[in-house]
Amino acid sequence: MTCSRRTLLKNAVKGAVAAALPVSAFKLLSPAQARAAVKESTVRWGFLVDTTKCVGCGMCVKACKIENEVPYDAPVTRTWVESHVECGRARSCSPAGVNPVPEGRPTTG
Amino acid sequence: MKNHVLRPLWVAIAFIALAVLARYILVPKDFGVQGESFTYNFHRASNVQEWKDFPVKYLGKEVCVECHDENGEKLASSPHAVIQCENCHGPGLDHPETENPETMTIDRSRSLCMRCHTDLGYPPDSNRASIPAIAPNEHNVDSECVECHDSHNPDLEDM
Repeated sequence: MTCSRRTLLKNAVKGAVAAALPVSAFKLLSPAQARAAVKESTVRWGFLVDTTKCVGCGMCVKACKIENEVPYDAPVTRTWVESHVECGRARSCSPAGVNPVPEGRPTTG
Repeated sequence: MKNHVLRPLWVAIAFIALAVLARYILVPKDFGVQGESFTYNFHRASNVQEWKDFPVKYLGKEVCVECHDENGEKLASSPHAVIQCENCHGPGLDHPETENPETMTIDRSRSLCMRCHTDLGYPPDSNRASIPAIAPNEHNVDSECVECHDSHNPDLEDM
């Protein structure tokens, strides 16, 4: 088996990074624990969504509008659910953001 | 240089001076780069407190079950366990404190149920396909879903 210098260096860097990451680095903290561990002013919050769990109900969109006091029926939006129109095999349709909600409201908010 | 050449220049300079003056008067004094990052910290400093004071409307299921433990337990063991109370009952801000605690507007509409339970022919590997679904134009068109189905325990076996 041959091993070029480039491959060796690449693998060495990968190995070093992997060794530097203990399993505990992936522990999930509650917001209170995170605040206690770091000074509050330095906490940077992120927002993650597992899109494989999304069924397109659009309640996040509705909640976003209510929470931020945005008019519900006005076509102004920062949240939307990308979804597909009904046509047998739903996923093969063009992803034009057409909404599965029957009343035809765009799932945006 | 001749006067008619310089005249547009004076106009341009006057326009710029006016813009600078307007900016000086209109832009709040605490607007600018807060901290090190220009990209993320270019804002009005007092706006941070304004957003901290902005009321949060949704309280979360954990707050609801403090009083409504019976409904909470029923829901937790049902196929709707993942649904937040406030999705149907509306945001709970001020709910127990208001003079009339019955003021929450419960959404019992068919269209709310249809958000998840419309048959859209999703492929079997989609999470959506595992949700019981109906054709909204065929299944008891004129009735509200809650007339037959219990939202807190929608299990068809228990109907």
